[in-house]
Amino acid sequence: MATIKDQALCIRQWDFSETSQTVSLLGRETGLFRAIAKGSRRPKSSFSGGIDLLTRGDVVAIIKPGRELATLTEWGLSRVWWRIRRDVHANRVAYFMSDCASRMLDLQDPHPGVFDGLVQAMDQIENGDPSPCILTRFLLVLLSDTGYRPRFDHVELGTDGPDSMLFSPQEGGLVEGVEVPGTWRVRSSTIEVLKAFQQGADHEQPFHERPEATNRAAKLLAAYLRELLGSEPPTLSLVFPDLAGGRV
Amino acid sequence: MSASGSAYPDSVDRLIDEFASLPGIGRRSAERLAFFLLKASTDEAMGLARAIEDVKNNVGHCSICWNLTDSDPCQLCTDEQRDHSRVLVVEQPRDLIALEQTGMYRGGYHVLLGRLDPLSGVGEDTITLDALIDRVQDPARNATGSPVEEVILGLNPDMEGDSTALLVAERLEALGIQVTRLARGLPSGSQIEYANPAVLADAIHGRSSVSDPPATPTQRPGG
Ligand SMILES: [Zn+2]
Repeated sequence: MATIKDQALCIRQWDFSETSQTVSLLGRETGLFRAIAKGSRRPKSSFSGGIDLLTRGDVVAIIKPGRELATLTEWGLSRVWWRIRRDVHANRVAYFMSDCASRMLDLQDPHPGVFDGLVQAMDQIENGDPSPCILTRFLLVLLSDTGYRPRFDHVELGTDGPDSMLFSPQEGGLVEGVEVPGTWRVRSSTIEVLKAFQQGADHEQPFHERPEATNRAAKLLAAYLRELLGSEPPTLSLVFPDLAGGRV
Repeated sequence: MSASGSAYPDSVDRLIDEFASLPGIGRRSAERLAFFLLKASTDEAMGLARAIEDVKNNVGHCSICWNLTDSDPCQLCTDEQRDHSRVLVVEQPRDLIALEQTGMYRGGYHVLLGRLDPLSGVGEDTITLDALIDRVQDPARNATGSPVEEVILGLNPDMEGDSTALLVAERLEALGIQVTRLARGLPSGSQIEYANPAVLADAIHGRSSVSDPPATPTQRPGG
């Protein structure tokens, strides 16, 4: 039995009873874990009045080995992002990012980089930054941190055109040769944007220079992530309706 | 010994199973309820059975507002004293009842019968949004034939409620309808030191000018 103190983001919540919740939290040091918060919705509780989705808090929990649910004893609300509750597009982007994080991570496998990346992305949404840029940056962090950093450096970029490069989700990056089933044709400008993001360029710059290519970059990463997961996150169609139903 | 191997007769086992399938009722509570009924008089026990039968046979949803009713349209929708140019949108009939009990609102309602849960893939096809759009677009589909001028969003103030509100607002604003939402934050008469952080965060974010005019009254004179 271990008591943990951590910062966490609430990425799922379910009503357990009228006054209690079960939650899925992404702890910075703890990783993804599920917990029951008994009496969390009572006005006078140690849970700030209830644990809402996509809020950040300081958490105390008791994790017992072999138990699926930890027991949450405190949730001190520390951040509410308002734009995702006031702007429909911001709302959908936030849902998609949190959905991707929860699906890519294993339980109790710490990924502070993903936690920081998601917090930063939520802050950027709050600031009104362009969403393709936020999405591209976060999906790159998520993929890299979980061992699926897409590889773009080993193939020379061609001249830009609608179908100039080949990306293989199986290979996790660009491939040379002729198109085979399962590879996707992508523009070299899309790859240039992704390389700029990977190299840590000022994150706004590639977007301002090439908004459409940045949007394509985010879409390519989202499609790659879907291939890795082996199933389509239900929130994908909110952000990229043209990718819904397995389309590329 | 029942066929299922438990010590109860089959009919008692079945009753326990039925109770245990209700939300929030565990096996032990189900057993307690079953034994309460076994001890009760036949009249009392059959009263419960008849009440369930009546509800299932006679209660449905109002074809205008989707509230629960045993007459269609419901009493609220046929009440000509109410201002049906305003429609307050809620998630569930129990939310409507809570608002109605305040006596502060004399307009119409629309019950969505759910809310979005994007992470579980629960989308707009599971709520009565299209029926609301129909009411807004066609006064003949609204209560007493009144044109809808304002839609007030009264969804639960959490992420799923807010997400549902955003979708409803997006669809209605495209039709040029005024969309407002219920205020949130500190209740009148409460004390800041006893408020929980979520309420305080809402109140700080939603702070308003001291001299803000009150919202358009929704209560008719004498209503
Ligand atoms: Zn009605």
